[in-house]
Amino acid sequence: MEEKYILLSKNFGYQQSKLNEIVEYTKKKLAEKNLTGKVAVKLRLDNYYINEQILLSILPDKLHYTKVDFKLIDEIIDDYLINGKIVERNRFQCDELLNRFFENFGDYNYFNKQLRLTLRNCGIIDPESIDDYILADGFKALAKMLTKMKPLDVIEEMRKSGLRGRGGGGYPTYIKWTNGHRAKSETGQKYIICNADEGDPGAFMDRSTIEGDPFSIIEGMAIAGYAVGADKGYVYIRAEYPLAIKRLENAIKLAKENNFLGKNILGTNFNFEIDLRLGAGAFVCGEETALIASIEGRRGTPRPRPPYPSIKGLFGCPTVINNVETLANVPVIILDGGDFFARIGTEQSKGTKVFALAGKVNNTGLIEIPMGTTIREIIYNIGGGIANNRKFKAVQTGGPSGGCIPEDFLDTPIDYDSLIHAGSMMGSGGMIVMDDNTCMVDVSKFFLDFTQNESCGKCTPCREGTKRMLEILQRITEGKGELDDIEKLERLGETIKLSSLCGLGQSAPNPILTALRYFREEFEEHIKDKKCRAHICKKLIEYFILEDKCIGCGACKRKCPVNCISGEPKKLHTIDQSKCIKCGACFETCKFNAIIQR
Amino acid sequence: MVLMKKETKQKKKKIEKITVFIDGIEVTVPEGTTIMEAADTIGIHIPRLCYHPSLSIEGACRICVVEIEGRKNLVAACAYPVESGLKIKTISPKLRRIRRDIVELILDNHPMDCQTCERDSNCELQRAAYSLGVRYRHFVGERKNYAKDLSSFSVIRDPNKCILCERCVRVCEEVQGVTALANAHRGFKSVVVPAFEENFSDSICVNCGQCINMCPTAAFLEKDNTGDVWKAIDAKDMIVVGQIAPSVRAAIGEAFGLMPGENYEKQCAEAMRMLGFDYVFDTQFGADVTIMEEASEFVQRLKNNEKFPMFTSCCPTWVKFVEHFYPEFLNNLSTAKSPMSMQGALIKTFFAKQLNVPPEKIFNVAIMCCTAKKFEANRPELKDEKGNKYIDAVITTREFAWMIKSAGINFTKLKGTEFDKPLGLSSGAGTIFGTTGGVMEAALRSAAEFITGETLVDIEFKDIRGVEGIRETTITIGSTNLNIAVAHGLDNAHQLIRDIKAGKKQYHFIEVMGCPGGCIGGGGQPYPIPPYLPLSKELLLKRASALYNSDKKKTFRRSHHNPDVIRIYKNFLEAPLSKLSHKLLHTHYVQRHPTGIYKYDVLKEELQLKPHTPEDQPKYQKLIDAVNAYRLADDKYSYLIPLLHKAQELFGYLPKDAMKIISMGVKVPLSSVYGVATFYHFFTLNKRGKYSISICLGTACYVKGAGDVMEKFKELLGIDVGQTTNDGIFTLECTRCIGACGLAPVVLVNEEVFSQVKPEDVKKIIDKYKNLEAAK
Repeated sequence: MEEKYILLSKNFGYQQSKLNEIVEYTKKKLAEKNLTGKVAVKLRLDNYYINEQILLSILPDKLHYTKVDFKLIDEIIDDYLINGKIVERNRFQCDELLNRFFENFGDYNYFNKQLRLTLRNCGIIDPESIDDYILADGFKALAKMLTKMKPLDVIEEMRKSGLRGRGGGGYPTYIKWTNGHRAKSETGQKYIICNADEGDPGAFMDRSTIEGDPFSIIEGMAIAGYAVGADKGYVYIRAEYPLAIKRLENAIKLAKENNFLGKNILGTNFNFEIDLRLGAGAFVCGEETALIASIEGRRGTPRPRPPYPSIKGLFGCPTVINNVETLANVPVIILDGGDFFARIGTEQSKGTKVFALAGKVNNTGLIEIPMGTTIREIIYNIGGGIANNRKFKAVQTGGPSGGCIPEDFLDTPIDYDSLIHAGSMMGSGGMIVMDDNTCMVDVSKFFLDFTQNESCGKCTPCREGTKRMLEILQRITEGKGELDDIEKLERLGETIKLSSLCGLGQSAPNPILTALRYFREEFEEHIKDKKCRAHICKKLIEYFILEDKCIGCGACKRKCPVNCISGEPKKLHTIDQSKCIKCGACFETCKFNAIIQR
Repeated sequence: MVLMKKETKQKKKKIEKITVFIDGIEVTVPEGTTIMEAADTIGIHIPRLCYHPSLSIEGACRICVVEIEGRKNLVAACAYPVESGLKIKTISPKLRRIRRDIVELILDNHPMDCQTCERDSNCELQRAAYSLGVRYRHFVGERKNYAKDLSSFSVIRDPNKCILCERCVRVCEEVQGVTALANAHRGFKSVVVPAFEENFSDSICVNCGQCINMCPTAAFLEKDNTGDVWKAIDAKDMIVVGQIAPSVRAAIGEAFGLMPGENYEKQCAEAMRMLGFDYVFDTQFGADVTIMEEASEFVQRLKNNEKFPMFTSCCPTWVKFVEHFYPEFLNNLSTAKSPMSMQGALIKTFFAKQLNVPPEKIFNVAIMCCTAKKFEANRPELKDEKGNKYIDAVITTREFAWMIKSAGINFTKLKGTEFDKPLGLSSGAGTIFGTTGGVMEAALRSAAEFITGETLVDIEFKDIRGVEGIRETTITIGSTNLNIAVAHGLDNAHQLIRDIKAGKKQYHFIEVMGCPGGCIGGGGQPYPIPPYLPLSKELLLKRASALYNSDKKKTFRRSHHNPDVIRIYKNFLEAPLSKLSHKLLHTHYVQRHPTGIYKYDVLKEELQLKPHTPEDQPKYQKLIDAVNAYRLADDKYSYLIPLLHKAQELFGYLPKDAMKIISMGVKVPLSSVYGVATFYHFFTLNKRGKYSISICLGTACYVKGAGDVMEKFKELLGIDVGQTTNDGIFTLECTRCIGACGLAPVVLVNEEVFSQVKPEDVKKIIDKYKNLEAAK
């Protein structure tokens, strides 16, 4: 096995041929110096936009270089690999304060405000190589735990860390573990489940984590298993993620072969096995009891709690269910200690959070920030501001369970409680930025359409109530809204929120209720004035020809499918609103910007 | 029965007492008591729909929500066990409002036809709506619209009235162990159906009618045959002959507001005459004849020492259950027909001869507690040599009560009259047929005396009375010890047969009744009056006591002492098991399809019966291999979804036969497999097009215009989401985020990704694949 790795990242925007040249050159040079077999050259599977430079890392020494060229390769091989003298040219230094994880990315452009804890290995290691993971301190936490810690010590570290569930609810992880640890199982069997059924539209943190660093999930699960007293784990993963499934299967196989899983792990008497179960397209299976039902081979419908899964879960045995991101943090906490972890973040929310930043910002992608970072910093620093220089309107977090946060709350620090206070929630990490081209009624309808589609249908308020709310919103966007519709939405919203069986129903009205809270006037406009200020709700748009701009070319008249545009050549044309079907063909056609939407 | 399991559990453990405060009242209850049960003890009736004490907790209807001090969300009182010191509020304007809203939401998706609904003002939903003050309809919108399933002889399924409480699904699975029903699809489209939404008559439904008993509304009903009866009464040249089952008289009073526990046989006879029946006979006479035949058969089997255990066969639900689930035991069923069918055959032969009329002139009506009897009457094995039915119409206790009501007869004021001769006199043995254990007791009263030739001193077999799910005893008759068992509720029958097959138990004679409590708990009995609940132990014991008390008062308590029975053998049948007896009073059974889930081996035969195309054959073989890998695992049912994935991977969709293979392999009922397959979006039950176009409708794609792209695809392909074009090339689908938000809006065609798609790009994408196809 090679002692060292030279990792070269394939970056966005960089010419592939140049990269190949560098790789070939490095290999040739290593061969010349008889280093082949001792130093390996690998390409990093980089998902992230870092910089338009090749990034080179030497592992396990954690030396990182930017602006890589042939000369730098020469220096590194001659000075460092042969003579042991660290090359300082083009090396980027890290902020020592923030530990080894920060070493990888320091403060650097895109990663300005970011801190990579969960994604510490993503893009750094080859996710299909267990050696890579080990070189990046992988399984060190497991080894440390098995040799030096008792289950209760592990739970104590977790308590100190203040880690809260990253699936959205924010329930302290150590309490789940404690309950699982204490719970008596009739058969002695307990289970750990990793919830990788990432279903929020617009969220792909778990997928990237598994694709980029599958071993950390395995390590996290094994640690949880040790703490709780479980020897079997299941990963419940979306079938829509074939690459993640493949990498995870491979990782489990490698971990088994190397005795990080299986019987007598690392020579101790701790046993732990992991099995995969594929989801089959049901958002509600993110809910613990529904997920359990699904693994048991049943319809993914939730059941009332208590009993909680940590007392009576999978196959009736005590079961601890953690989210992917939560588990990915576990090895860090065990290796560096709960106190280290607790230094990051805010009083009530510790550590970092991964978000899938998307929507109308310039930089979209996966980001990881310390808790307490403000929304403004994310959107304007990391996200690079609103795309096309448009005006910010709202940011949606928490997916279909969360809400839209308006401009007034841009300085809200990201943590569980502040987001709830702002009317949204942390959720699993989707963050969609919206500009003034977005209609809030339409967005509310979108989210409700999603939850209504995903409602399992078991409990009445969610099954029937979301359908009625959606019908009301549909009416409003079609200009058929009535004055008491807002009141009806609020009434149904309250009933569904308070009385639904599971989290899906209890949070389903949130996007609408927050929209009503912050953007009520838009709803009223739709209902009273039959107007959509963002020109999104088709049936409310009116196309209108401007007198001063129309030259009477007749292009619009020819395009109109229902012949509702009239006018003599070279004279002002007019649209018959009663016949117009709002297809927008005239609007697209006019070269003189004489047709406007209003 | 779940009810029984609960009791034994409580005996084992010492139960702690817990004190809570409900609406300010201090209540002390045993640990594990739910808030609802605790509130019941102090006279607070929290409204409920999906809850039933004999079934598992569902917590679905949510109208029992209550507040717990210090908690944000409301909890379902039916599901929440009390915790020490909890301060619970069950009465508040907020709770009333929310409960009312929930009921209103149910009603907004429910036909508004209370005036004409068969539930006969005994509907739990209607009661809840009235009591909670639902007066307006605020949220009227789309309503479900399904066709009624009228295929079954016994049970009608009307999903439009279903409120999805799943009480039917649970009773079918937990109490009956049949699982003919399951919830399929999801969300607003959820619907309770048999496997593949096929006809009820083609399913493994055993017609017990417990779904009707359990339904809070009228989503399940017996097939109404009263029209046929009225018509026959109206026909001038028809002789209408009625017979009435023992258990009907023990429950019919409830339909008229009378408390259970009384025997109303004389009132029934009088009401039948008033309605226009020409002759009124008693099924209990048929029961006495049944005992003569069945006891003789048992004695014969004892003599020949063969085919043990012998099972009773008077319950048509149980018989169909054996035909589906345990065909290997068909020879163990007594060949004797049920009392109704014996009585029917005797009426159309012996009695017709006595009247000197052709049997076609007799319209034979059976008033039964049972919905399955409607099916039994139509069994081809039970028709005469010309193919005519012996029983022309079966009506349930409920239907009989409707007839009485619609005729304007005040049942409670009737004095009562006797049954007609010669088929109306019965012994006490015939009376107790109506309750679980009764057939066995009646048979033993005769068999013991047949064997020993001596008179039994104590004819009450108390060991086999009661409502325990399975009761067993060993009795000594002459020099032989006989192991006897009685089971009611078919899940208990499963248990009994499992024990027999495992060699744990050996019996000589077993009585099985399909319905809990036996016929008195039948699927055709009146909806009980509050506070009684269907299937509740108190109700069943009350109804049973009406029969046991009548038995005590009878002059003759053994079937073979009934003078009219003695006479009919002397004058007509000759002797039990005679040639004529065999012709008229005995039958045979056949294996039924679909098979119950416990028969994996049958599967191979079924597949050979229906060979698949050469293209599919290897795929089926692969699937069977995959199933074989898991089918003996302890947690085999947890492989259901992985195997469905496998099948979909092999076929591209889920063919019915593939689901059958998986069902039998992992021992999950077919209806449940269908329920699972339709729940998850990933599975498709229809063949897909060659190219699956799936448009991402995740949030990022949506805000960037994926909705318009979707519309364009719909327009150009002329299909809706989930559909396939007629030429089988394209299937249109939507997905929720494939994690490529940076490329939004994204369209996937099979594996190929198109990014930043605009509506105007849609045609190009479609054309690309059309050209590919054309090139082939």
